[in-house]
Amino acid sequence: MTHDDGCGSFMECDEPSLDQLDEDSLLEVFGYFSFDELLLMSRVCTRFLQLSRRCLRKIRHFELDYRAIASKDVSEEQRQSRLRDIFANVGSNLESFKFSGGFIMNEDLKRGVVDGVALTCGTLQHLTINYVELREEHLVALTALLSHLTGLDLGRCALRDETFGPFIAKASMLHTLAIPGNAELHGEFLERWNDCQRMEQLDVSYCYSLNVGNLKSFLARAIKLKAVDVTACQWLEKDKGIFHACERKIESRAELPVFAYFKHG
Amino acid sequence: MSTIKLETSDGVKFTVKTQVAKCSGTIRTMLEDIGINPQDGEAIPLSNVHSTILQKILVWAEHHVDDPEPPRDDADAAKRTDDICSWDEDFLKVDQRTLFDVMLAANYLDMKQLIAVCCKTVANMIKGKTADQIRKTFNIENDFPPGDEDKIRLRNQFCEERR
Repeated sequence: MTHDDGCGSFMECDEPSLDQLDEDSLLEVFGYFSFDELLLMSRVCTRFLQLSRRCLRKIRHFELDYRAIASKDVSEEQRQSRLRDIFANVGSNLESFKFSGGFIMNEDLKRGVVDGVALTCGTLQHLTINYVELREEHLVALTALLSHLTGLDLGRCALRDETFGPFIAKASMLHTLAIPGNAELHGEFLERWNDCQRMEQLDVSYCYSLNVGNLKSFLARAIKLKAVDVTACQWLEKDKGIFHACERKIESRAELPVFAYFKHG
Repeated sequence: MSTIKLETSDGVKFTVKTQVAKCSGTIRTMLEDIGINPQDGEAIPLSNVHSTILQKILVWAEHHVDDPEPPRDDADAAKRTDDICSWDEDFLKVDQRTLFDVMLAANYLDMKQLIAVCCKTVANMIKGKTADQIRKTFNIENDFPPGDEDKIRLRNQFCEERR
């Protein structure tokens, strides 16, 4: 019995082998594997290597947790090799990528993730990076993605107006921007952002220093904006009417939908 | 209740409730589209299915005949393998030979739910094993040239060592 005759029978085989199943059946089995399991299967035999590659190419969403790659018993080299595995195998097909970090994190690893996303994810639409301190060099690297990103979530990334401003000014395709919990943002970044005509949702909740008055000129430019979450921002009495003044209905405390991500593994 | 006859590759004839036989997309198509008329008493030939396997598959179909249509697959949803019902789990506690033959026959007969439950079972047999254990369990030959395998081993060492 060979691979190609798919519809034979195992009854006459002395030693039935999984390798003898037809391609459709094997692909269906492989469809139940996570990224890590597919990498493992690619080591079993050349046929499984081919099948794993086909399955890896279908991965559109990837979620990476810092704690999962930074476990103590793994060397720095292995962590970087893990990142290379991820981006080399799935980067170019990803539509969304999510990375949750920790404020005390290895700088090389952070750089590895930022560069991996920026250099390989040429069709990315949604990027989420949470709990990672993003400084100027990181934002400069991520600028490469702004020509195609429609959703961006940089919640709790210690963003500052002077570095985030020049970055977001290049984000002409964004529909959704979520930057909750960036306590040092005052809101000047919005004044420099002219290409915001596609924006529909903005979440600046828990940006405790953000002055809602700074939204005024932005609201006039962002003609498609429908919802802004300004929970726990600073309101001055004179700014109370800001969401009514622009002659459109903008929900200011609306529940923003959460991006759905593929949970692998 | 209407019945039809099925004939397996080894020439055994089964009389089956039409409703049960229609769990198979292949048989459904033969009856509805191609217009094979089972009233003629002529058996539908299933030239790729052996009688021992068909017998087993009919037990499964009989048990699941009243199942509701499964929800449409969400391509992006993570596929679960821990949702096999206990009846199916017991049903598939068979040797690999039989499991693979049921899988092949389910494919030929176009029985999506049975295919899915077989594939989940195989996936579960693989999950948690190392590459060597997988080769051993499923009798797979390591056909990488020695040099190539080292390269691949290096690239994937992380997966192995995390176990």
